[in-house]
Amino acid sequence: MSKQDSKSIADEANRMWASASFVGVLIVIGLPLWWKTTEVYRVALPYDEINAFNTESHHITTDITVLANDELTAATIAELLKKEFEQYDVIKLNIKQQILSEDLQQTLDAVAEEQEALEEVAATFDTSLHNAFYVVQRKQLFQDVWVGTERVAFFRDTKAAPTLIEALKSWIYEPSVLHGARSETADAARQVRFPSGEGFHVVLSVVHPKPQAMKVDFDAAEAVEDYIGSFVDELTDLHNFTLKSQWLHLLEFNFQTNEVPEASLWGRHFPARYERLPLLLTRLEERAATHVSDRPALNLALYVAPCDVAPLAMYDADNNRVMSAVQAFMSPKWGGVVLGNPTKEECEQKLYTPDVKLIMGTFISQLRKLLGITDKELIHLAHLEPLRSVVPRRWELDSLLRIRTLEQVTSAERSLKSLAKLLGEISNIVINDEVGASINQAVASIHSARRLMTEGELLAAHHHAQQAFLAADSAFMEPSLLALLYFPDDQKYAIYIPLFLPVMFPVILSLKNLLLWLRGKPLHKEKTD
Amino acid sequence: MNLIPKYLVACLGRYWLIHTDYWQTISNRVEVATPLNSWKRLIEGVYLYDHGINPYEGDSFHESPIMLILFHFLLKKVPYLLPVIFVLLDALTAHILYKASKSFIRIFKESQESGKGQIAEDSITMLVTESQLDEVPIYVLSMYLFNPYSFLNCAGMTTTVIQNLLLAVSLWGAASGHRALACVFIALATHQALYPILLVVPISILLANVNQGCNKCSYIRTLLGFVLCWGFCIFISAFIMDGSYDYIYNTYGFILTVPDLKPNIGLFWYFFTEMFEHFRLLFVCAFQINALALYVVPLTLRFHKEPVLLATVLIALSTIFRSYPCVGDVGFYLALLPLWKHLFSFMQQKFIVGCAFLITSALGPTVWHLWIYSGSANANFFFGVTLSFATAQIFLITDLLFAHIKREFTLKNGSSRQVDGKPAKLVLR
Amino acid sequence: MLNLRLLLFSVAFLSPILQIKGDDFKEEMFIKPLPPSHLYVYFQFLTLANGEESFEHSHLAPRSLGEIVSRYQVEELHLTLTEGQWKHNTWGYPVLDAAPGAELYAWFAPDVVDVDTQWKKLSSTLSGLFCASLNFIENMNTVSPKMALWPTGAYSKSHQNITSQLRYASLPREIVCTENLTPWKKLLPCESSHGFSSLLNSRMIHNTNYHSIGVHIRRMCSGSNCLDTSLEIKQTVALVYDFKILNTMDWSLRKLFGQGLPGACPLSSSSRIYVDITSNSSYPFKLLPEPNSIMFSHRGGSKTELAVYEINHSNMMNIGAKYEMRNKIFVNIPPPLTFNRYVLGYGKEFGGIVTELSNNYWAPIDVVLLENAPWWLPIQLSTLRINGEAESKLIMSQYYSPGRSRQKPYHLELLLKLPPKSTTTVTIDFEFVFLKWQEYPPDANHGFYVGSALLSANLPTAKNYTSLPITGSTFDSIVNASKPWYPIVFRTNGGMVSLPTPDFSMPYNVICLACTVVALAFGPLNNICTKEVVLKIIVVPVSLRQKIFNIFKKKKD
Repeated sequence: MSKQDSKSIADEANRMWASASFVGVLIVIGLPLWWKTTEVYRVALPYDEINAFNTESHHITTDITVLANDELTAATIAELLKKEFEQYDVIKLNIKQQILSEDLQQTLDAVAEEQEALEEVAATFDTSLHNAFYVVQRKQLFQDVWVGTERVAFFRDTKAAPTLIEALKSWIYEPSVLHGARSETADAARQVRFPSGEGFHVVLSVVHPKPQAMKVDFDAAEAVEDYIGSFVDELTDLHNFTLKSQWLHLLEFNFQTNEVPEASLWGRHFPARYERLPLLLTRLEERAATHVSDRPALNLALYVAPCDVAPLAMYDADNNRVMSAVQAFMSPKWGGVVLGNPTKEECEQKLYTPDVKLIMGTFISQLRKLLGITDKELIHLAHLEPLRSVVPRRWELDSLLRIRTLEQVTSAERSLKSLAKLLGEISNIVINDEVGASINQAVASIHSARRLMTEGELLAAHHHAQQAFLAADSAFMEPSLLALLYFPDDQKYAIYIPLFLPVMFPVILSLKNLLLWLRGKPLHKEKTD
Repeated sequence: MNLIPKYLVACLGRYWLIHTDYWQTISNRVEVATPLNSWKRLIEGVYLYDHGINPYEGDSFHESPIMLILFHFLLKKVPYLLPVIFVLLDALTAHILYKASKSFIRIFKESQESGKGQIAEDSITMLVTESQLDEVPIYVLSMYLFNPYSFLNCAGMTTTVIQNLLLAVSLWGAASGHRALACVFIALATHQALYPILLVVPISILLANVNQGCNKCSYIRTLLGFVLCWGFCIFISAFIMDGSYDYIYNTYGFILTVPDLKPNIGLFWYFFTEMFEHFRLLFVCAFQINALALYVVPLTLRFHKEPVLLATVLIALSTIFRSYPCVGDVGFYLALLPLWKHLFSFMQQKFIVGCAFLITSALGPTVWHLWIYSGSANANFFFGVTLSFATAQIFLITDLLFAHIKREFTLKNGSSRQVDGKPAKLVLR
Repeated sequence: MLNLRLLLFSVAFLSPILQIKGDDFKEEMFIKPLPPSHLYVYFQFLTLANGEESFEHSHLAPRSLGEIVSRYQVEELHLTLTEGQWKHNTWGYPVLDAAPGAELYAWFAPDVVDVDTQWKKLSSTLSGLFCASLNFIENMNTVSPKMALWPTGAYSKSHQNITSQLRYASLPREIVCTENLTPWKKLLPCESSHGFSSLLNSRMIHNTNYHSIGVHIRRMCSGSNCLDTSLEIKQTVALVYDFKILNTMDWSLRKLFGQGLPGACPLSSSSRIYVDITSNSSYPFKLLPEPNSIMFSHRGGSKTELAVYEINHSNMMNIGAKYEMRNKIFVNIPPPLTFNRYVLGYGKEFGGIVTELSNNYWAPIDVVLLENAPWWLPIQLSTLRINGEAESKLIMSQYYSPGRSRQKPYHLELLLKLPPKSTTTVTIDFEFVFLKWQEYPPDANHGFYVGSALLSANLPTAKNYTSLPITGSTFDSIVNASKPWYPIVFRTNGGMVSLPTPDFSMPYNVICLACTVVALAFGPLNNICTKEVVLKIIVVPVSLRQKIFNIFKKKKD
């Protein structure tokens, strides 16, 4: 009998080990296998950091040095500046005071022209640093305040303080525009300028509706390289520009206009009504083929009016004729159009030579607005030196850097926030390595940009802000995020159940017996009568 | 001996079938030829190799480089002799199965003798007699020679003929105690089709039983021998392909990842045609575990005393659940069934299984023709037929195993089905 | 026998001098009656863009094409969108042959390392520019022909491995319609208001047996020493009208295009219409108005007579022809090389592709046949038969790259020497692949298109040959342009196969059924392995009534 018993014990052991092997294969190997092969690949993202972004708290620190002839003036000006700019949280002024040295004071009093005074100041202080501004006292000023193209503003004395503050506020620092760059809704200035980007294509299109009737002598390539080239060369810190030009022939546009006689060389003009102008842009856009470019395009179009509707005169929204030497209009986020009107002699000779300087100048002014340089309003008793060349003013460049930095950082933060919300809510979106890397890079760049903005390192802050913006955008637009989006969760069970339920069921039930046997207890109760 | 006419008839029949007009049809049938073993792909692979193109670069050739070299040689030197070679190989397989089954019967007799002491009184009559046992190898031989599945397999000139030969030799080697023979041939069979790796377990048990001595050392020696031989085969194949192991993706990778969804008599093709991409990997792994890893340990633990039954059941299960089965594999394990003639009286589903086999084998080509050629049926018909065929095979195996444990119980405890005078029945608890 | 490669190498290098400052634009039209009842109209708009490499400043050339060429470093580009099949046997040879559907091939600059990425980006950008679904071009339907295609533009001798920078793809399923014509027309300097392009009225030109629009960009030498190259952009339209659809044999521009020609484009330096009046001897017709001049051309043994009209900017013009005799019996003399391609086999299991090449000339012709079978149609090289023989002597060179499922297509190139006055049959077998259910297109039973095969030939005669010589750009370069060989690339017709489809409505059903069978085995085997056999007393099942009775009895107790 003992042999039978030992045999049955051995048999039972075998059975239990067989059961254990089923459990081993199905649960120990099967469950991790299922987890690994059906998991949605999601890289870990810094959700906490993203949610902690506070877009309203960004600010930029900037240096301003008050140079006065004596202590009192400097202190007064500095005090007034501090009080005025305290209310703006978007820009923080780091005000330094300094007394002008005796020689410099005398030199400044001695020179007649402001330009020379500028040079004297530039010789002593470094005015080429970004994000620094100098307010210098000069007794010989005709007006209260004088501002040129360098990062220097002259003021006469303490009485000029309110004008000075006004000039600094609405010309140099523009806190309202900065505030608009940071806010969620676009303010007027943001609606005009092009959105931030790494680069732009500036395309100069010469539109020539009737090439058979007239020849146009205009070297578009040279014009764009010379004028626009010199302008955008200054802005290389902000964006990369590629300059292109093209000729659009036989692109006709019907202005639906009638001749209006007048007393002028031509004897007539043709009104180009306000409502028809946007339709011209539609026609231009059809032929411009800008969708092939990988960067946004800034369109500058020169429309050569055919002789039979020359000269075209634009009428504004109130139906008043725009009286200016050059007829031009601009469309935010698209570009600008200049209407080129040939003169009567040019029409007779069938050769039109446009005034390159005038036209390119118009284009430059449109380009300035499109890139974000705002118009400066007149301030009573303050003088803003008009631009002599296409190069923008230094402090305008600083202002642009500040605007773009704020815009890019806040846009990056908003993109990341909405992306994080989306990815958090929908659990079966694949987050692959590239998206994860982009998001992490964007978060890191946002942090360093914030720090640099607070420290006042404007160029570096802009660089990091741009990186953050591009990384956040590329993560947001990644097409691989759409995979698996539409597989319903409940149908997963319809796929697992047919195989795994009948298989797991006996295995789970046998777990009880297995545990009993492992503990050494008898499996079946012996019935005793 | 009255065996020679059997061989002659079978060989002549196969040879004749190869030379009829129907040979092309048979060798192209999906039940007979799969992407792994079809003659067409072999020709294509050898042709590419002959013209200096790597046959593993494309998708058509899935045999091992050893086969490539072998058939390259044969097709170059003696192409007209190939039908004869295939027929002779099949006859050789049958003969080796005959000898193997003789050894199996000897082992069975010995174990029956040694177990006589524990048998209940009234079950003595259930023991198998000498004369009955002596008939069995002849049945095995006839089953292999004359069953239609192996006939078609040989006529289609598929490489499963070689696969069956390798398996038969390894079984015979194990049964006669030649360890080297068994290891080499099972390694070659695994190198060709991967699923015979399951047979290492019953073969090591057989070898340990036949060669007296310490069991554990025998197991270790068998395992080591197998691993060394298999590694050597892989190395030789890489050597043939100029040292690159890229062929592994086309052979083992193909068997494991199932990229080709051509219909066959298995379960994989339609399942993975209709599977969602996201779950594909999980189910490929699940099905391969089911074929390779799930049943080996439990069945071994339960039937370690009957390694021949274990071998039969494992061969059958790997045929049913493998990724690219064909009728040649089915024919092989059907040939091993007469070894269990004594269990037939305990089997309860013989009629259903037999009818199912007949009906699905006849219906399969019909619905295939309707789907592919007439266009009046669709894929579901053929899928249903393959499902029924798989179900019939599963019923056959489980019935066989149930019969075995019932016989075991009856031998031990007698054939009375009464407990304390009350009627009782056999249950599994 | 001359090596195709050598010829084109030298010819391309000796491209002619073009000394034009600024861009140059020419438009030309070629009309050729194809007896008995068709008319071939071919438009060609040539823009020559001189200038720097980067094409940032364009004058007449379309800026978008220049930008694409410079951004993706493309040396030569050919894109055609075609509907219909050119019948070479009866219509002769077209100026430029095109495969049905969309066809794109391009050579990239030698310093491009990752050609496949640039190729994908190029096809996606072109897809957006032309509103055609070229974004379906992927690695799994792109090949790199080794012998069949050679560049027609100038390239420097230092480009050693030019075929590695070549990519070719064809999408036979694409259709071409107004959506593609409109952006194509926008690329022309005159757009559609002036010049020949105003005739391209999509309602009329899509009502033809064959219409094909194409863009061909290549580099031409600008100087006799060829130190600089300029970009030549050629936009072509090929149309074949059927007189039965026009309802008359007397064709005129108004009947063909719905309007007369409103004068030439003011920007073009030359606007000409050529009418092939060689067939005037057998099918006499009278041209109205009278042509400005008549050109005679002897080219490679065939004589052509061309009537030339010089169009200027001012007046509306309507050129037409009046046929004098009608209902004449037509005897078709087939051109020197004709071909036919069809799919063999029945059922959805096996099949074959047969390409028949007929050499009707008295001397042997060398051709390169490129078979580009998609990955779901695996062709078996061992079944390649030329005229029924396996290792045929007609094959002089062979290149085969086997395909992989879902990764690359099957690529077979054969250099054949066609014996004179004979038909050569090239047969290859394939079998059908069973795809996953999500890989079938929405209309799975429509069938799958098998693309055309490419046939490159160096014809020894210029009979029926209307293509421009390689060094020529405008149409007058065909006058007396006799050469020893006339290279041309043909496209055969495509085919259609019907792949076996699974039942698309069944995913969950199949999963349930197959898993049930697997679980069927698990249950019994699990029981056998983990449970023991015991005898259990048969218990008479208690009825429900008795059970409830027992409960009450227990309660009472």
